[in-house]
Amino acid sequence: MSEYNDILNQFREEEPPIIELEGVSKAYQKDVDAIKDVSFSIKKGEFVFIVGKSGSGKSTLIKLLLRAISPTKGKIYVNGRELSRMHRTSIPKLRRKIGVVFQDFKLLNDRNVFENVAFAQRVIEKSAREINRNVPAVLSVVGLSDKYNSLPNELSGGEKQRVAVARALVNNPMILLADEPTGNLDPKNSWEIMTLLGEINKRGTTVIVVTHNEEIVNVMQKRVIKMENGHLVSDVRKGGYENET
Amino acid sequence: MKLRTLVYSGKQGVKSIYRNRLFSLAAIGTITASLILFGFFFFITENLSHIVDRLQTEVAVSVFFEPGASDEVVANIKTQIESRAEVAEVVYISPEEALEIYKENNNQGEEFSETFKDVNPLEEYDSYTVYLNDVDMQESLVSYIERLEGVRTVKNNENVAKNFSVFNSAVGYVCTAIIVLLIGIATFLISNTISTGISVRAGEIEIMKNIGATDFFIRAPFLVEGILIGFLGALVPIGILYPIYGRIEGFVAEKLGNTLGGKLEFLPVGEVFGKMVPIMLAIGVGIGAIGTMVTLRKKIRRY
Ligand SMILES: Nc1ncnc2c1ncn2[C@@H]1O[C@H](COP(=O)(O)OP(=O)(O)OP(=O)(O)O)[C@@H](O)[C@H]1O
Ligand SMILES: [Mg+2]
Repeated sequence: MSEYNDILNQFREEEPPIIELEGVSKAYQKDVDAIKDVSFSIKKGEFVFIVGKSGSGKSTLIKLLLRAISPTKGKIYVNGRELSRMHRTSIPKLRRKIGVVFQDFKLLNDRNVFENVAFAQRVIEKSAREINRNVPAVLSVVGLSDKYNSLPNELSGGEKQRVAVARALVNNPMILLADEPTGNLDPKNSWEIMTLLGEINKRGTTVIVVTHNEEIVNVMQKRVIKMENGHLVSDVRKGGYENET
Repeated sequence: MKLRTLVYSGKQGVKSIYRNRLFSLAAIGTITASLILFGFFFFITENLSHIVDRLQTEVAVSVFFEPGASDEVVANIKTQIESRAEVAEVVYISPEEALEIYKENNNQGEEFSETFKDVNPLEEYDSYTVYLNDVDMQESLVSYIERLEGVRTVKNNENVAKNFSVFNSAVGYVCTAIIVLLIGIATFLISNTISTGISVRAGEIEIMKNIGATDFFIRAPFLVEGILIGFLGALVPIGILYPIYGRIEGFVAEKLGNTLGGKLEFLPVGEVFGKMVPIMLAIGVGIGAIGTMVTLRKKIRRY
């Protein structure tokens, strides 16, 4: 088995990264860089934490990957395509490859759990048949098979975030981005969500999680990218929250 | 675009009109008001020009000749008048006919004919009656004829049609100004309605973008909403105006049918509405679509 692993890993090394940043800077205002000269690459199937103090540029990285904003300098590649050279009309196609989860869940409060997840499929024009197959499947992955008809305000924070994760997953993305997914959750629910993200990663999805949760980062021993004042200050393969540079 | 997307956008658009019903009603109401005004304007101008057309057949200019003008000169005058575009017909009235017309018009009896049996006092008063197909050209025609060789006088008949025509364009200007103003207000109200809808659905729009909805998919429900509001705003006045016009037309036919020598007649309902309905729908839908697109461009960032 171990020799296979080595061969596979070697193969992975040669595979082009699914995400790559080359000297990326972003200034929202002139001469004030929210992130500055950041470079890193992420391979298919990796699980990566992005940590750092408030205002260090973590959310800016997420928005750049979604092409919600464009870098002022540098290049960003997702799945081999450079984002700034992508035509406007190709942006939806990029986003369909990326699932995204936020701290505040961003659910539609007038629609039940099933409809919130189905919404992601309707928006990309899936048929009712596909929706009826995919939504229950993904709701079972996140453990909400018994909550189809609940409205968001009838759910706990942890459950809401599960709905958001299900919605991010239902279109079967290659990459899952999570910006402080446990920011509004208690420790127990935080662990459940992080464990869920870990499981999703094991199924092959590349997962990038922005978090302030030191304990979880320390226990999970995944790759950790640390930001400080817009600079990438450390990138450790298997690390904890506080790493020496 | 897939059929289900069309259905989805339609549903969302209708829902949004309902959710936003106060604004929607204000917008529909304003469009209705402007189009009702437009409708009346349309009826008035269409019917006036119809009446003018009919009266025009009566508009005539009488041309009298110099005493002793030769047949050749008289014939020449006719050719020159006929060469004008606004002239429909030139009819020669002999002295005998002139006498007969005088007799008719003044209700003279047989003794009148007896008196003038041998001597026609109008012997020198043969003339051309020139019929026009465009009242507005009457003055220029008269001054043209006056300059012709062998013409003694030109008599301008009383010109009802001309007055109608002037009145018609005055009505036109006033109504156009009011309608333009109302359409401006209606466009503003639609824009407001759509703006509110966009704010209400800001969260949903953000989610749709993140998930990878196309720009068109995001905008389509708003377009449906705006166009539907415009369409309803056109349908209501059509429904209101139809019976009203029918009554007015019936009234005019019954009570005023004999005025102006039977020339005061309104166009039939079918003919007026056949022309007006497509114009109104186009205006309504146009206001809706333009108001919405301008707002979408301002309020929703492309990707
Ligand atoms: N839309 C914006 N306009 C102007 N400045 C912005 C904007 N968004 C973020 N910034 C600035 O860019 C810097 C990085 O912000 P970012 O949101 O990426 O930080 P963060 O690491 O996600 O912080 P937090 O942990 O508080 O979420 C901050 O200084 C912030 O004030
Ligand atoms: Mg942030």
